[in-house]
Amino acid sequence: MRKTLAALAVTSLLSLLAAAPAQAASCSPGSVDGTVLLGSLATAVPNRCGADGVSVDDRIADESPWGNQAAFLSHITSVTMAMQRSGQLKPIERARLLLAARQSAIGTTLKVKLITFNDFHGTLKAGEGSSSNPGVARLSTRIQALKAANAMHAVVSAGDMIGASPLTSALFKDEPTIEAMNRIGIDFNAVGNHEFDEGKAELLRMQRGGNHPSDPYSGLGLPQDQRNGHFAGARFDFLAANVTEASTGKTLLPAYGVKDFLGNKVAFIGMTLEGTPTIVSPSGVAGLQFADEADTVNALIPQLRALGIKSVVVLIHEGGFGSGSLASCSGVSGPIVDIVARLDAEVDLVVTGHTHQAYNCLLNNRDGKPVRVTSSGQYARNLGDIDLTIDTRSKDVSAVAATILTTGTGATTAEDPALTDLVAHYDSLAAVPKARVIGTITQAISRNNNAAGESALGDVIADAQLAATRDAGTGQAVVAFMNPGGIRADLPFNAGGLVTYGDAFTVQPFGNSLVTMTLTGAQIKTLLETQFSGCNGQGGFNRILQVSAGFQYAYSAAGACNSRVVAMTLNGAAVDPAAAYRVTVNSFLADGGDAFGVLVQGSQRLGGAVDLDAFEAYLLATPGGVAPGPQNRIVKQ
Amino acid sequence: MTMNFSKTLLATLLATLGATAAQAATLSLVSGSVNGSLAVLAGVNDQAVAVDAGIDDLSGSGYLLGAGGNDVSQTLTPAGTLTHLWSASASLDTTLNPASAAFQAGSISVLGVDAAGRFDGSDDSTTVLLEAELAILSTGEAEGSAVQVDVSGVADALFASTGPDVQALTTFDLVVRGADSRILGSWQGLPAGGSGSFSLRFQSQIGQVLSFSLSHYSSLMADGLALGAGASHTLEASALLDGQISVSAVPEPETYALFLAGLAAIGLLQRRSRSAH
Repeated sequence: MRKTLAALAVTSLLSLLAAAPAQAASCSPGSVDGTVLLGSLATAVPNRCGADGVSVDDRIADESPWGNQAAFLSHITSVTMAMQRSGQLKPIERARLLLAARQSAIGTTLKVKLITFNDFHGTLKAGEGSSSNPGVARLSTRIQALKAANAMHAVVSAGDMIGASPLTSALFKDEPTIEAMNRIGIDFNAVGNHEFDEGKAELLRMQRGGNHPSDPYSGLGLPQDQRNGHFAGARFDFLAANVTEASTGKTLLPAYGVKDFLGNKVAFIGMTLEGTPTIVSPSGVAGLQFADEADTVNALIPQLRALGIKSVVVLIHEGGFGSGSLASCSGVSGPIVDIVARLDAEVDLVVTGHTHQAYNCLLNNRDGKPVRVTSSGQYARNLGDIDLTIDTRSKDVSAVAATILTTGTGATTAEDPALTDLVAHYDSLAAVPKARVIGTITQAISRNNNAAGESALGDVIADAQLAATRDAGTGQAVVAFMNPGGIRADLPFNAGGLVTYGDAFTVQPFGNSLVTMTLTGAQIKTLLETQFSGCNGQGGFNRILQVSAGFQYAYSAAGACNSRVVAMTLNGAAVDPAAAYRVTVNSFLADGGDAFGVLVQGSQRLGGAVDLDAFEAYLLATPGGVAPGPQNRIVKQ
Repeated sequence: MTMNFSKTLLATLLATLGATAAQAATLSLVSGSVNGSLAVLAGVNDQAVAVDAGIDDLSGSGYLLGAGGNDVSQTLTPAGTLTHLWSASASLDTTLNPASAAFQAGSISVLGVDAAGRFDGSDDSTTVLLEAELAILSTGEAEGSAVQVDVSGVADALFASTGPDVQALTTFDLVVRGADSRILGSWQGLPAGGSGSFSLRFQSQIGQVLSFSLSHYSSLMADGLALGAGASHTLEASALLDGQISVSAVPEPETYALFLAGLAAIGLLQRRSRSAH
């Protein structure tokens, strides 16, 4: 068996070296099947079957990928000489074929299929987190089909492959996602902000392998996915061109990767958004610097050109907001527009992410020329099917055509059997912790915001955090604030209203702990003013914090920065700017995450429980079941 | 157990050798050109076809390619046609493998005579010349480090005539020169209608630029012939040379020493293993 495998490996290597597929007998010797077609060019030369059962057309293999015109012309010149010698071709027929071969222009361009996705977030198991999630086995089916139909291909991801994952991946430190991607066979993943959720060391462990130093759920993969009995790490490269170590000035991970397609090199520059430190726990990005996206790309272009590389794809974990269907790009806005507008014209394609949107755009670069910019939604629901046409003479991309596909759920798309055992393995390992009942609810509790930005689930989570920190021993908090980005799913209504650990984990997968601190009333106002886009360093959209019961305020969206929030009350009394209040937030916010820098100034800090434990305790303390509230704490005027 | 150990050792040694070769020399195309031409003169009943055609340079990044072609058909009076098809090309491609380049030169010339009366004879000649400057580079080794250059290939020629007596001449001339124009290796061939192969090996060094030259000449001369009614004749000459040039590191003396030490160690272990039985 092993011998057979080795022989197969050698055979496939040889056929790769020959750059032509192995040819099995497929016609009856001496028969003629029409005339030889070179690409779309018809010739008058009879397509005769040779003594070995291979026809003239098959031996020429014009449909195979050719790295340049010399490769195809020398190939057809050689194989037709042998056929002339054997009598399968007459000299005049061979001369006609060689003239047609040049005329056909075969080899002057090479088509490379790029298969792209972004914001996968460890959604291995179909339906986990949302019934719309197809699961990694269906994603694999679509990827393998595109690979099989295109010998020249690359599979690339634009970040947030891991982090903020459902339990089946997150409980095991996202090792299952890396192992699944290893099985699918992907080439590069640009880091996104969530790759930094657990810090630099953990990100490097994802790349290099080895078990987590303390987490008992690490290193539990199937033997074929492990290396020496430990987590094997990624068999693809994480890329981070704009992330450097402050101490050395060197990039934490490679800036770019190069894939060679029959002598035509394509560079993939990978990066996360410059603003990553404002949306990741500062401990996760300690000692790292994040540079401007367009400047980073443009500075790499001369280096790539010196290596003879002119085909350049940028994988960037930053995106935009579009409207309309998958195929379109109407009214796209957001940071990616400005980034692309500053990009060097050598960039041929920009594969984006972060906004969880699906779009297929042409945006103008620095020279005012349109460049293709795509994003494939989220959670494996979509994938990009992109054709790069490379001019093999100049080695530059001459055309880009992109389609955003829908992966398909249920019976629409079959699950790849090469992935199902991996998913089932972790699903079964997670079954016991996941099924544990932690309380009840009276109906489903949604994270959907009302017009003011308040959600029923946000209220419940803030209440749970306040409850966990209200006592004298736990912080004496009077109010809790929760970031909306930390609420990742709705809390579903199961039979009997039972809430499982798995459900709760899917809502709050980050494992943040609670921090209670003292803020003045004025600082609380600054905190709330900072919620609005562009105010006090806030990014491109509003981030309305969820607040605990007893705290109320109103805001005027049309107001100026720092003058939108009015009528703050706590248990009916106006909030006094000069008074001190004990405030609870999670560790992400406490460190100034999501641009809420005022929280770094909070004094008399006291660490508390993990957010999920606080949530569980809150459910337990509500015997009749937690009910969604009226969402009346925040008023938009 | 002992065998496993010695196998591991052997594998390690081979890996060491492999690693040495892996960081070694590459061939880079610095510059080059492809030229060539066709001249054909043929006649029937004093009606001549004369064609002069050239080779177009279609070279791109990392490869040289020249190709020429011609397809003429002349209607004769009072009846008949004289056709001539020609294709010639030469290429050198460094893009598929960093340590080697594939090269090729070839031509095919086919004269068709469909006429009555008298074939006046023909003279058909093709020349192709490919010249390339190939730099031997390395990322891991110093300028001047020794490398071995291998040049090998096969050449093949066919000619035929269904009627008129023909004389065919096919030559390939391959020359590789060093920096001082000194010839490092060369091959000339081949007998008309025959085939040949070559395998050259010489030493060079990192940093050297090799001047590679491959020329091809093919001629087919036909005598006149009286043509019967409805006569149809084909005269053709084809030739092709396919080859490759590759560079590889010459292992350092220390590597040899390590390898020999390893072999000795394996021998020792095997002897021990035998005496233990």
